[in-house]
Parts: sequence; structure tokens; C-alpha cells
Amino acid sequence: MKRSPTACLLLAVWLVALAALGGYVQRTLTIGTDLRLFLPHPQTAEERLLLQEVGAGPGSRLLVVAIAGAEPIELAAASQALAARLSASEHFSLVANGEISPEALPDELLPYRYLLSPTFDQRPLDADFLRGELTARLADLAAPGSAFLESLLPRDPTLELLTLVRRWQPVHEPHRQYEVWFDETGTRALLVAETRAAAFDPDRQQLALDELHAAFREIDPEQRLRFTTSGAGAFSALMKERTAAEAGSRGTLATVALIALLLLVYRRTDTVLLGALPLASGALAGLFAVTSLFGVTHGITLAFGFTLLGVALDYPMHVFSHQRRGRPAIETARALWPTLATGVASTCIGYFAFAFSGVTGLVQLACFTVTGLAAAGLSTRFLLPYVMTPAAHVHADAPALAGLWNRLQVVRLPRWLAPGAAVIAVMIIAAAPGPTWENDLSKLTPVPEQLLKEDAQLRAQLGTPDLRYLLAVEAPDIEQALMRLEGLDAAIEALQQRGAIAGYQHAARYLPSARTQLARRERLPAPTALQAALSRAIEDTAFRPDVFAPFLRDAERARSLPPLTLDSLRATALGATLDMLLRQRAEGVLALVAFTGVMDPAALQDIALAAGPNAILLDMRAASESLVARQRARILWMLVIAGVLLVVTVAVALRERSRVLRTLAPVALSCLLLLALLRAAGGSLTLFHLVALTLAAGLGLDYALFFERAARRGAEDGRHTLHAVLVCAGSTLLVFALLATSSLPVLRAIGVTVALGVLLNVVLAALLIKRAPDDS
Amino acid sequence: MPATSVAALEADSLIRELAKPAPAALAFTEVRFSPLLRAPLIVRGELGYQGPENFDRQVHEPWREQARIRAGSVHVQRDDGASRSFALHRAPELEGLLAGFSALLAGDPAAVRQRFSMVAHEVDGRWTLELTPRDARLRKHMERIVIEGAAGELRCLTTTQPNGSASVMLLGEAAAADLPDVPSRESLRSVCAPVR
Repeated sequence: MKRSPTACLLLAVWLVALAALGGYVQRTLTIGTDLRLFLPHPQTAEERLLLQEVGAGPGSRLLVVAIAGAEPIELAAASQALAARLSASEHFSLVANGEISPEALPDELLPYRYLLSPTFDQRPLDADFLRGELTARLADLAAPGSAFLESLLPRDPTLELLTLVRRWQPVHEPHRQYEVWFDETGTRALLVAETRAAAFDPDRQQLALDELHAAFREIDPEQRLRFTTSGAGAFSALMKERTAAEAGSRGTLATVALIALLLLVYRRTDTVLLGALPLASGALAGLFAVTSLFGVTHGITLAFGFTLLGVALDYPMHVFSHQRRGRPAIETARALWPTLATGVASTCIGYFAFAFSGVTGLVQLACFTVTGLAAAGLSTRFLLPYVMTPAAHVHADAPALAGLWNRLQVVRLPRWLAPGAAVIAVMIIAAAPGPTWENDLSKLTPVPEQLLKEDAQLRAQLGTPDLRYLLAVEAPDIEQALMRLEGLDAAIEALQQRGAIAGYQHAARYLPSARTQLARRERLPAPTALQAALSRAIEDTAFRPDVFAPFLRDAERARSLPPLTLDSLRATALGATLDMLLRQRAEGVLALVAFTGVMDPAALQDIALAAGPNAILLDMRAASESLVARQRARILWMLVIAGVLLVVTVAVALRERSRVLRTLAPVALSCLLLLALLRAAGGSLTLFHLVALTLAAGLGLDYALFFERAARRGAEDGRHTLHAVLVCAGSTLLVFALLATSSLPVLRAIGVTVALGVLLNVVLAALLIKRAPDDS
Repeated sequence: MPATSVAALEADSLIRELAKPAPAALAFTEVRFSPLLRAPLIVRGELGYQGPENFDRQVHEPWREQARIRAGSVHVQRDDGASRSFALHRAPELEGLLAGFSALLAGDPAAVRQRFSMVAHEVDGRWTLELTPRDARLRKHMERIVIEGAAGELRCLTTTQPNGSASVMLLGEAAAADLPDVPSRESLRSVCAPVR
């Protein structure tokens, strides 16, 4: 059957409008990955700092690279080559593999070593000290392979630069072989690289990782070595890639299966293609609304939004399945509209509740889904029927459908069954072992357990900063921040002595305060005194008296140097590290102390208390858990409000109390049973389960509304409704069952929840919704 | 050039005569000259040869120190606790020296010639073998190795560096020779090539 010219024109206009909208959205859509858009506003100082620090703090930017698969000497050479290659890269602010590189301080800053090093805080730079050092250097010179020392010693006989470089290592000296770091077994060379990008920025992390992989290929073109990269940033990029890959492959498979199913049911290509138009209209309208109202759209908004928008795929199917021979599609749509509109309006009003959540990501989600569902619903009613051709085939004519419908009408469940099931479900939900909710922020993008374990091992070997505890100190300016850090040193060192922590790092260890630098400058002996001390020390050694002139020159220069500032270090390899440990903000400076190998958190808390005002110990995990818990509480409230709004909308639309009850009972019972099943299966619930549950409830409401409509109207409508709901539920089940087979927890959670939810909803709606005896 | 080929021929037979089966142990006295030092450093101890590229070097005086060189890696441990390990290729001058020394002890002139050009002289039964690195990169770290001895006995191994540093290893019998308080390169000549 042919379309009228008007229908063809309308279809063309619709398609052009969609293409235009698509083009606009593609140009303007900016996808954000900053997790903070999806978290509630911080309330405590800890939470505020956590949000500033999420993924940006010391430790979380560190990628650990392990190199294995060859003799240690080859691994060491690869580690050196890799370090050299990455040091030149703009994506990494710091690369360390244990090699002591004297280039850490540019030549013109070298005299500063006497202001930066703590060596002479306890003992003076005198003849005794120099004699000891020179004697040690003689033994160094006589050892095999010491030729490189000859060029170094005249300027730096006490090897002060090496002292500094050791102090600046971001890690707590692990095992060394061939001058680079190895793990305990000596089979893996270890290297740490600090990315400039924050860990939560998977796109820029990916660039850094690409650079890293290019370096691997360059160093090891034959691919004999095994490189393992580990760390928060690597994981966020990996999970993004794997989620995209799995979602993509399963999505393709699901689309193919869905099209096959719909072709099988509706037997016409154009019907199947037209069926996609309302969903496409909804998606594009939703994206248009979000990009117009918000600058950056969060990736999670889109992922959740598209999931929730899945309901819209059902709208055209109701129209298709309810088509009758000889009746124009427009009339079918008009007849269905009160029921369909009730479903669309109640879900829209329900999701609108999210707009008041106060969390940017959720407000975006509300904007996207409400606009999208409304557009999909309206286009199903006011556009789709006008471009459809009259039905050539009535899909719901199969006798089996009529038989099934009639049998469903006579099945009478015991009256206590539904309330009884609800009570049991509530009991299971309350009594299931294990925590009900997953509070771990990292589970939002869950990383395979194995990778986390390996990462923890590598970090333990390297002693990289602990990701959990940070001591934050606020000060009005940099100098005061550095002085406060120095003031903490004695107490923290005492902790290290008694094993409460393995090590620590803060900005003043790189850049002492001007006060300390000036005090060191004061203590440096005058040129004549130093010359005299050196002469006396040299007398007892075999060194020539005149070779250390460069040393004397540096020491003399140091006596007149102005204190080194953060700005002059910014251009060096230390700049990025210092910027991370010392945050300049409008209201002052925030200095961080990072710890390694924390054994006794309570001791850290004591230090924070003793450190006075504006110093707090951040327990990143506790803060993130409380944030997630508050976020979830807020979302739960939103869902409760959404549920109430939905019930009110349905009640207003259906008016009669018995109809409202009949419609909502199967949906509510499905939700309860679904939660009970998920909890009984042993898992903690996440945000993903909640979103999936919401989708399942939205789908279930539509099924229930149509069943309720059919129950009032008789067998003819019953067959059509049964057909429509079975096709809708079958296609949804197909898509989400495929998702449920994913190896990724996020996709699996959504897939299992929606698939189970749809199954429960369709079965319960079919069994529970009956023509009431008093209805006429 | 006939002169060179005569010298090379002599060098070949000389090297074959010097071959020592592993394991072998040899007392040594190393006298190290450096532009930084007014008097050379003198350390005494024992060298162990455990086969190609495997050496031990034990210092007994004036401090105690053990160095082990195995398959391209060096580990140095001093009795005061200081220790250091590094890949041999990070110390090119040491790597070159050991390559030459290994080839000598194996009695393998072809292996020596692979990395060094050789000149040999002999005067009154005292011979001198001069090895110059072929690799320009190595020549930046090591100018030349001069090996001296008499008959089939190795007495001295002198390594010179372009910056004026030099190390004279007195080996075997020569290691036990009395040295002046502040030996000079000249004074060591008489130990390495004693007049008979």
C-alpha cells in the first residue's frame, strides 16, 4: 500500500528535522567526565576537600609501570629507556625509576643545594665533616666503575645533590638492581610516572596512556617484554574503553536481534524503521534540551538517560499491535492515546522530581528524560500515525493470542497470594545478609578485583603515597604554609621512627620556607673559613688542595642567594609535584602531606589535632563514602517523590480507586520482588540498580495501563494488548538479557535488573489485572 | 705494512701463551692516578677469574670491599655497609677493561682484536702489549690498555683515561713488590718491567 503524497512530505520533513537536530547536537554536545557533576554539594570541610581532590591528589595521578619478561639487566635497560622517553613527554609531570639523575636541578640553580638540603641543620660544614666525606669519596673513587665521579666531585664533594634527589623521590626506596627499582623478587622493573591529567579525566588519561604505549613499542619493537600499567588513571581509561567496547558489541548484537524480532512480528521493513522514529525524536530532543540548558553534559547522564528512554521504544509498538483491518492508524493512535498519555505523563512527572535533586548530573538526567519521553510520546501520537500506511496485516489475529487472553481472564489467584508475596519480599529485603548499599565511590566505575590487587601490590612495593589519608593544612600564603609544614616535621618523623607510617612527602621537603633557607644561608661558613676547613680536611687525604674550587664558588654564591621560590622551581621537573602538594586558592594556600604505608591512622589524627587550627586529616574513603551515602539518600528520596507523583498522575488519569489499585498493584509488587531477588542473590545495591529498577517500573506501568484498558474493553482489545505487551516485553527482555551477559559489573547490573523487572512486570500484570466483577 | 703484521703475529702467540684456565686467583695492587689526587690511591687485594666475564675483586687494604661482576652486572659491597650495583655498560671504561682482560685470559687473540687494535713489542724477554679501543665511544672513556709482563707471566695492566686518570694494576708477583710512599707512573715502570 502506498503512502499519500502528504504522508511522504510529512515523513521527509520529520526526517530532515531529525537530521538537523542531530547535526546541531553533534556540534554542541560536550560530554563531561568529571565525577563531581554527579555528586551532591559537599557539606563538611572533608567533603569539600575530597571534591577538590578527587582524582587529583598525590598518588592518584601516579601510574605504576612494571616491566617483566627478560633478564633483570635488560629490564633495567628498558626502564632507563622508558624513563628517558617519558621525561620528554608533555603528558607526564614526573617520571622516576630509581635512577639518580643529577639533572633534577638546572645548572644555574645548583648552588641552591646548600639552602635546600638539611645536611647542615644538625652539623656544621666544617673540617671534620669534610674530612669524613672526602675519605668516603676516596673509597668511592677506588671502587670499580667510579670514573663518572671524577667530573662530579670538584663541584660537589659531599654529593649534596644526590642527597636532595633521594629526598625528592615520590616513593619510599624500594629494591634496586642496576640502579633502577625492582620488585622484591627481582623479576619486574618498576617505574612511576605522574600524569598531568587528573585520574577522573579519562580522555586526557587516555592520551597519556597512548604516549606510554607508543614508548613501549619504541623501546621493545619485538614485543618480548611485558609491560603492565596500573593506577587510578589507567583504570578509568581502561574501564571507559572496556565499557564502551562491551556496550558497543552487545549493543550491535542487541540491535540486530531486535530488528530480527520486530521483522518477524510485524513482517514489514517500513514498520520496523518507522518504529525507531519516536525513539530517535525523543533522544535528539532530550540531547537538544540538555545541551541548550547546560554547557557540559555528563557521560553518566547520557548513559542513564538513554537507559531510561528505552521505554519510548514501546510507544510505537502499541500503535502497531493495536492496528485493526480497515481502520486508519490515526484512529488507532487516538483510541490508545488516553492510556499511552497516562504512561508518558506519569513517567515524565516522576522523572521531573530529579530536577529538584540539587545534583547537576541528576538535574540533567531529568531534563533529558522528561524532554525525551514527552517528545517520543507526542511524536507517536501526532506524527507517526500520519506517515503510517493502513495495516495490510493484523498482527494480533493469531488464535493462540485469543486463547491465551481468555485463559488469563479465568485464572483466579488466591486473594492472599499478592499481599503474601509482598510481605515475604519485604522480609527478604530487610533480612538479606551483607550491606544493602555499596558505598564505595570507586564502584561507580568498578575495576576488576584482580587489577586492584595487583595495583595494591605494586604500590606496596614502591611505597607510593597512600590514597586514603592526606593531612591538609591551610595557610594565608605559601611561606606560612611551608613554615607550618616544617613545624610538623618533628612529629611526623617520630611517627616514622616508630613505624606508624613508612614515609611522607610534603612541599617543604622540596622547597623549604624562606625562613629555613635564610637560616641555612646564615650557617654557611664564610669563604675564608670554608677554605680553611677544606684545606685542613684535605691535608689528611690524597686529594689535591686546589681541585675543589668549584665547590667553594658554589658555597660562596649560596651565601648571597635570595631564597628559592615556587615560581623559580615551576619550570623544573619539580614544578608539577609542588603545584599538586601546594594548592593556591583565592582564600589562601592549601598544603597537603601525603603518607606512605599508613599503619596507624589514629596517630595521624593526633598529629592533625596537634597541628592546630586549619589542619585536618582527610580520610578520603570515609569522606567519599559519606558523600555517596548522602547522594544515594537524596536519590532515594527523589525516587519516593517520583513514585508519589506517578501514583497521583495515574490516579488523576484513571479517577476510580479500584482502577488505580488494579493498575499499580502489579508494578509495586514487581519492584518489591525485584529488590528481594537482587538482595537474595547476595549483592549490594548501587545507583545502577536503582536506575534500572526505575526503568523496569516505567515499562511495567505501561504494561499495566494497557492491560487495565483491555480488561475493561473485552477480548478483541485483549488480543491486541497482549500482542503489544508481549512484543514490547520480548524486545526489552532480549536487549537487556544480552546486557546481563556482560563481564562488566555495571552493564550486568543494569541488564539483570531490567530483564528480571520486565519479566516480573509482564507476568504479574497479566495475572493480576482482571476485569473487576462490578465493572460493566 | 710489514712491521705491523710482524707485531700482530707476535701478539697472537703472546696472547695464546697468556691463557689461564678458570678459576684462577691473582693477588693485585692497584695504583690509581687521578687529576683530583696529589698522591695515587693504592688498594691491595685479590682478583678472582671465574670464566669469561665473571670476576671477583676483593680489596683487603686499606679497607675491605667486595666486588662481584657477573653476566654484565656489578655489585660492590663495602664493609662499612655501603653497597652499589649497576649494569656494566653504565661504566664503559670498566666494561672495556674486562672485555680485554677476559679475552687475554681466554687466550683468544681474535676476541681481543674484535674490540681493540694491538701493538706488541718485546725487549730482553720483557713484553708489552698495547690495546687501543676500536670503538670511538669507548675511546672517550678509555684511551688505552697497556699490558706488561715477562715470559708467560702477566705483571701489569695499565688503563689510561683521556682526562689524565690512570690505573696501574700490579698482578701476581708484581703485586707484592715494595712501592715508594708516593709512587709515580715512572717509579711503577721498574716494577712492571724490571731490568734483569
